[in-house]
Amino acid sequence: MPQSKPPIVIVGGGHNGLVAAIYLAQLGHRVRVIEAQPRVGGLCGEHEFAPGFVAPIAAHELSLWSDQLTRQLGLPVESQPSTSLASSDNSASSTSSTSTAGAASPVGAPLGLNVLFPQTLQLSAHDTAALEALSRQLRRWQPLLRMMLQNPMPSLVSAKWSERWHLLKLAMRLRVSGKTSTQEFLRVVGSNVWDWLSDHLESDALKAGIAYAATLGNSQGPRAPGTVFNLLYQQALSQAPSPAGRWRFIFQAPPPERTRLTVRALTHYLHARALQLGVLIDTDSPVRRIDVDEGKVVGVTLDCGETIAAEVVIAACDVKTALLTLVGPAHLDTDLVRRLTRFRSLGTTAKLQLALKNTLPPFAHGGAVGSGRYVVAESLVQLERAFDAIKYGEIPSEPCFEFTVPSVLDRSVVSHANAHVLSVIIHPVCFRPKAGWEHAGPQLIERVLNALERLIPGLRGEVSAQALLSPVDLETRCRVSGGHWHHGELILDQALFARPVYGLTQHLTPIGGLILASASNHPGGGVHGLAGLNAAKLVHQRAPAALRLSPEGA
Amino acid sequence: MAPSARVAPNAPEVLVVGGGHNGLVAAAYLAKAGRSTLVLERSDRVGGAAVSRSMYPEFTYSNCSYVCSLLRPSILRDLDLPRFGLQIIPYDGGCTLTRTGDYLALYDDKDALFRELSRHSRRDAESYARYVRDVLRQCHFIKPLLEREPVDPTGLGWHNWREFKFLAKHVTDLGEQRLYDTWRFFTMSAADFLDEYFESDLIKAHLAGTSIIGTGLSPRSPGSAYVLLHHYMGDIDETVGAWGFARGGMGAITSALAQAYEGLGGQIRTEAEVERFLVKNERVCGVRLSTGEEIYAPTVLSNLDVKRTFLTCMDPRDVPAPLMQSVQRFKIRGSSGKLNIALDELPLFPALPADAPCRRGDMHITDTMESLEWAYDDWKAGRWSARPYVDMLIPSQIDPTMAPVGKHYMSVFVQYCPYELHDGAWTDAKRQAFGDCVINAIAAHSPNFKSAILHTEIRTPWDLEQEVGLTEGNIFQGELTLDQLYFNRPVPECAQYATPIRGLYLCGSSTHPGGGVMGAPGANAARRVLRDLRS
Repeated sequence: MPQSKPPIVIVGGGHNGLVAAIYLAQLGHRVRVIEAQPRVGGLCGEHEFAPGFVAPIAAHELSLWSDQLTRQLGLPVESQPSTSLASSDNSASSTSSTSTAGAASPVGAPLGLNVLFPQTLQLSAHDTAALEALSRQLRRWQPLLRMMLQNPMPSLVSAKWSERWHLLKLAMRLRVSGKTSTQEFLRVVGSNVWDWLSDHLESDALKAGIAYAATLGNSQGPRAPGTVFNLLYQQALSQAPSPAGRWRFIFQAPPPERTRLTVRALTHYLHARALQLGVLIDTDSPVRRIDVDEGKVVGVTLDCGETIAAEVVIAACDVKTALLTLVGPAHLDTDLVRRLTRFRSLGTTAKLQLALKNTLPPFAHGGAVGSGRYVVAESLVQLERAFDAIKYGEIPSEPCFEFTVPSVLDRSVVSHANAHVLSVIIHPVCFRPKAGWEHAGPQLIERVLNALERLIPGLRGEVSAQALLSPVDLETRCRVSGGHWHHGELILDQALFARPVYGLTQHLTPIGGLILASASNHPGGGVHGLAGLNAAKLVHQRAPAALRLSPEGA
Repeated sequence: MAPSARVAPNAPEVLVVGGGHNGLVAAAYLAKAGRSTLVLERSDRVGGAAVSRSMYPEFTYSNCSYVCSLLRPSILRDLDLPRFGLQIIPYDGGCTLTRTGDYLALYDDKDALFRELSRHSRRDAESYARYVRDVLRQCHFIKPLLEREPVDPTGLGWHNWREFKFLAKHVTDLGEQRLYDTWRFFTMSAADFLDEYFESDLIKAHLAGTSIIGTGLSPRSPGSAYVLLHHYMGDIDETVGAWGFARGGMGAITSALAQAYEGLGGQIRTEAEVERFLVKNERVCGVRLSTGEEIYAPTVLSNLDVKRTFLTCMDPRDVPAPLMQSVQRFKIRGSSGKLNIALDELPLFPALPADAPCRRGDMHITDTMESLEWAYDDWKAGRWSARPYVDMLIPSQIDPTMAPVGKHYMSVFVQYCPYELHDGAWTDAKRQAFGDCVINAIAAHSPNFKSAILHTEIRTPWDLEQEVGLTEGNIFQGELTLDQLYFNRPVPECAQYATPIRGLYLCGSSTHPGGGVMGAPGANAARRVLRDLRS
């Protein structure tokens, strides 16, 4: 007797969960997304931290999201012009590589990292040329990096020819970039950004800005081996700003005609599109358990007691929450439990929201604060010292951070005419300071405000409300283990075919029908939706019975 | 006895520049194969950083390297070194003394070790066997690669293909799970690796010490787990991970090497400082000494580190620009200090039980993982560590040749000590202050230590560079980080020991498999030279 198939259940309505939902719904599957918070978005979500002020919970800029995915998912980007379609703020951003005295000259995103500097940065001819050379070098590695990061990792020792062929293609992609280029890649991929950048560039502020972007989200500082991998990761997934699609090195913010998605808009579009396709989205519905019977999923049980039957469950939450909390160690073998427990995922990112009631003062150098992502890390030493402090459970004496002002372009985040929201990501901080967040939090805020005041005089006086989300807060609020930016350290020993742990690399688990789809998976964190996309493809391609790891592996 | 040199003694086929242990090993293998070889050494004796010196009457110091483990057994056998007086005496375990008057000792005897570890953490005592097993697994993985030329990932050629096939099989034979473990091991930090086995901070701190020896890394730096392995993969008499003293000091090793080499027909000239490698038409043709004398030979091996070879001892016009750039980017950073101390009596360490065998092993005084990090952070800031990691040994307890009866020689290895201080160059006063810092740290655990001191030699990385010629006093001739190992060591163009300058080879620790008194770089380089000469 034919019974209607149960819907595919997706635990977690963060961006990966929504991407997976849309992909599958487009192909005709019935999908149900279950989200614990009142709103979808997860770490891409937002909250009203003070009456009339809405700020991003964590992610506040999109440099890794691809237009191709926007098109592939059919996101209705034209539908809501009032919600922050970014037309670039010309007055602050237009620049040339030589700045006029007194005007803002934010140095824009070299290498697609989307980093702006809040101070005036004059680059020497040497550095200009060096950045150009680095950009060319990175372009040569781009095909390999994209192929490696956008697709599931092949198994290194598989007997399957499809896997071996994939490996061979990766090797060939690298080799065709040239002998020297191949050698250089193999040399630097394990190197540290401090040395790598210092080998090429002179300007300490420039190096620090790039190194900040490279080390964002993890607990290892710029001198740590392996951080160049993180830089390459960011760089590989970020999108060419030029309409021509070619990588080019830029010193200025993107040209005005290019529309740039904000995180708020993206989350909105993902939500809207999912609803449009008939995806059921339950918010305020924390999941208590993923129900497993005889080695396969049979559904989920919510905190309120309701059970939802399912043959396929996509866990779009971090791997430890999915397997250790929701499934439970009783259903997993001890070796896997041990590996998962050791998967390092203590977050090092805090979020500070500032409400400015009346005005947004200009930078000390006179330029207006624009719509970009400003990075405040004035030297490599400052950045390294911040990472040193967190080793000892201390708040850095000179914290490094980045900020955006979403309200410059999107006025719907504030309800007063001249109000603004400053969204600050402070990185690194320790997960649990020795002094406890009750004492360390105010100290941290004070130090950040002081630094901001130096850059934007008068800012402190304008702050009418503030809120700090520590990594512990992010963990609790978003139900992400450790509140970790990447849902688990993105570091070589937990990356590529080692991510998240042995045996779980390709989204499959030992439990039939349970698929993992979060930043804990390859490739890692950042708002790019690849985990959701790759997991969804897998679910579509295989029958539920085939969605499990065989004892020997996938 | 080996065949005598084919060519007249004053027209050698091969020159080896630098009489450190790798240079001697390379020269010995070449001489053994019948090549007439001449070793040129700047100072008045060979040995480099593996020397015994009498800096104080009746005492012998191993004043640079101080313990032996990594010397390849194959080299010991091939060159018959025991016949030339080399005797390595293993020592039993080591210990860490805590600030609270407690200690952690390691014993060779498994039961004693289990009891001692249990005293600190029962869980850790049970994990220890698993830890050793897993580290040994990595030793077994890496050992076959130590005495083979690294593959060239971009190269063609029959020999390279053979090496690649060996490596590929070696790796795939691991199977997926072991490969995953090995990958993680090579990219992890020692701290994270130790966290997977142990909970006791003291046990971790004791084991983490070997992950920072000679490096510009801390136990939390990714890649430091490899350094831990590097110091574990030696063996003495088939016991993997064992360490020992060379009877007579480390100079006994190089002295045996020199004798073996000369017995094979090799020649050594000391007080012959090479100033320049002579190059003509992109081929090396010999060397020029600082006296102006020129010695010609078609094949030259440089035992100097890669920076000294190409940046100091070559005319820049002879070095291709890409090679020059690569060599400049190779990181060689000094981070180790050394004290050599003559003592009037054996220092007491009241925290240790009487007759504890660990007194004859390596004793440490850094008892927490955090203090290792502070020590590292000090070095990053251009200061010597206020609370240094100290690795001290008293070889005279086992080897009576090092000191008169009842008196003792103590070797103190210190991490970290910068090559250049944040406020300028080393002065005598600063050196003394560094030494005092270390002595005070030891004296806190030994009531009679200070009063027993007859003589102290304090060596900073700068001193090591001046005396031995190691750039920045880095004991490995270059950092042992992932980007500087295997086919990246020292630079891709020279990773198979040959350089872009025909006839010029590198044979020192700047090459694979790196530093420590191993001899493998020298042996591998010699094999490469012989292969090239035959073809």
